[in-house]
Amino acid sequence: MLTILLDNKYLIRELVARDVRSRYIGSVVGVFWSILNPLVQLILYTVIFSLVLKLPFEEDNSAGRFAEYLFCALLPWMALQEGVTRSSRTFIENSALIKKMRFPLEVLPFSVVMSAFFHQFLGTFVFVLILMGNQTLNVNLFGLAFLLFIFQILMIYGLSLLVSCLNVFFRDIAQILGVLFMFLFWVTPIVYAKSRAPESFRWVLNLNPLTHMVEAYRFVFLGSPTPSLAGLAYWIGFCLVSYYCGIFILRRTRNELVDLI
Amino acid sequence: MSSIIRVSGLSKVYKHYWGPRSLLKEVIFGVVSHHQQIALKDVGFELAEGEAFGVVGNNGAGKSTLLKILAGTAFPSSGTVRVTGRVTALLELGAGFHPEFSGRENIYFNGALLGLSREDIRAREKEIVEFSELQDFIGKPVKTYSSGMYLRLGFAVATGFDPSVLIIDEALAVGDQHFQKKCTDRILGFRREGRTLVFCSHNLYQVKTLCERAMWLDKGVVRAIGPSDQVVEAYTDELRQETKTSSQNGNGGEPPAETADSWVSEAVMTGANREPKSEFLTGETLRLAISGVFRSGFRGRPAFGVSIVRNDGLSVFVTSSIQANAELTRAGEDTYAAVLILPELQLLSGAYLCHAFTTDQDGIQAYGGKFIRFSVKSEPFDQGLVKLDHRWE
Repeated sequence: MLTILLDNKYLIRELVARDVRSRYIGSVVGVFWSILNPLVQLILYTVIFSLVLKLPFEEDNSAGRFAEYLFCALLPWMALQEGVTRSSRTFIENSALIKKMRFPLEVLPFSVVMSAFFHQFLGTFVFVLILMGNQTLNVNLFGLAFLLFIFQILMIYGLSLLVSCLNVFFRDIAQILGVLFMFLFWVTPIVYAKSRAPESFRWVLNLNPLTHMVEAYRFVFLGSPTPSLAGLAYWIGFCLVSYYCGIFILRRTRNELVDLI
Repeated sequence: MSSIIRVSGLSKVYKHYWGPRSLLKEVIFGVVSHHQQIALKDVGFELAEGEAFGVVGNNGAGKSTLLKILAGTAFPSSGTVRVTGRVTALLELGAGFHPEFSGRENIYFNGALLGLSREDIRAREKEIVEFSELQDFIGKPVKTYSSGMYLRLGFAVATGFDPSVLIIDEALAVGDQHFQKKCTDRILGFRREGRTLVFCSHNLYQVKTLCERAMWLDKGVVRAIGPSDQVVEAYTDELRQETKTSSQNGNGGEPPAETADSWVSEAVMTGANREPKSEFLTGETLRLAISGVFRSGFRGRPAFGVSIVRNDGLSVFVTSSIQANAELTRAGEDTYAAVLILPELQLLSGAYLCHAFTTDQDGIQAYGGKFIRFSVKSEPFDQGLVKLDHRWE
């Protein structure tokens, strides 16, 4: 699998660059939209949850601290949602390529995932600069974010492969994803802290692997909350399982998939 | 020479699910909820390097499916397919282009898919653009191209990256005549360079002239495989048979002896050496020995008539002994005989039906006769119905 992606790195680079560029063609501020987009969401959630509803994160309940906590979770979340949702249609949208030449199917969802990740990376870069300015960056550990990136990409890619294959057979998948992500957004502690959730609800959060991803990102950037090792292992396990699941599904369905596109 | 394509026991079954719900039912409960369409069944052949191979057959015979499998865009349901070397394909009018990419980007994109490095692609880019004659448009997205431009670029790309196997599905009718000529020239050049060509077309003449060997697919099964002129002939024979109308069926066979006054009792077709024969070469001698019964009720002068009809119903030639003012030989009490000789058979390749019948002095009405099937083979480059006497000055 890795060798297929490496063999086609030129192709992937072209597709990703194309994808990133095409989204902003004709727009005035161009690639800044990829920073503006999460920024607007961030401001919106901060105003509503911190200033209007006065929901605090941890003990510090200032709006600035809320925004920092939110940003750690919002960026990977957006990459996940965008990557998986857009991957689900990628085979159908690129049927002209798949039907006319020997095309490595693996490449298509991967380039979508990398394009989504590109925005996350850009956002994270700006975010780290802001944290440095606020002197709230967890200077010793934030380099570990790269490790988290790798697992996160494995997870998104695996899930993307899964939905992109299944969507060829069941076109409902793309629709279901919208509902699923809406639900997932609220059972992942993105706009609130896990510690603030009632005890009776916490098992749901712990069951959700994304909870542990969010907590890991908060820990490496902000230094708290300290994640549980078991939770972290659970998330990493989930990443690997997603990845292998995606590969397995592609292998199993590839032959019939190209007939149905 | 080693074989560059080896196909054995290849079958392809398309599953048609009745809908997404039946697919779900099949996946979850294992209830079979689809019907199968067999596109290819147990197809096998081998191609040596440098060979040109044609595939003929009716629509839906599985030609496109076979070419797709060879090109690697579809996968066999069973059997093995081994293709060595770099394969490029022009499948069903067009190439795989990303509509948003410019023509040039698509050249790079295609080259990258074939595993070429950027430098290799750059080295060939100029030649590809020149061949496609799209210099002014190569920087524009291909979605803005006309269908002719799209095809031209497709052909230029498919043939521009030095493929060892080129697969072409019905794509030789590309663009205007000028470009078609260029395409044909390039393909002939490919042949000379010893590249392998797999070619499928409804233009049987192209198949015959471009390919050494051909395969005839009929409903997914190999009907014939061998030298292309023979295979194409077998295929065209059958095509004619299919289009033949049923008009012949009315006056066939021997009439009941009680009511008829005359009929042909025997007709034997032989070569010059008088050995019975049903396959002729153009230019050979054909002899048709006819004997018939003319009863006392028959009025006038006994005569035979012969008509030759191609198997698609086209009437080729009709003649009678009256026209030639020939007398029949009396062979018995009411039996007469005659031999029709065609000294240099001018018919070209095809399957024919010969009808020998008795006729009256007006030479118009045909009475009960015999039918004989025969076939003619000619030089591969002779096309048409008859070889007309001709010369060039």
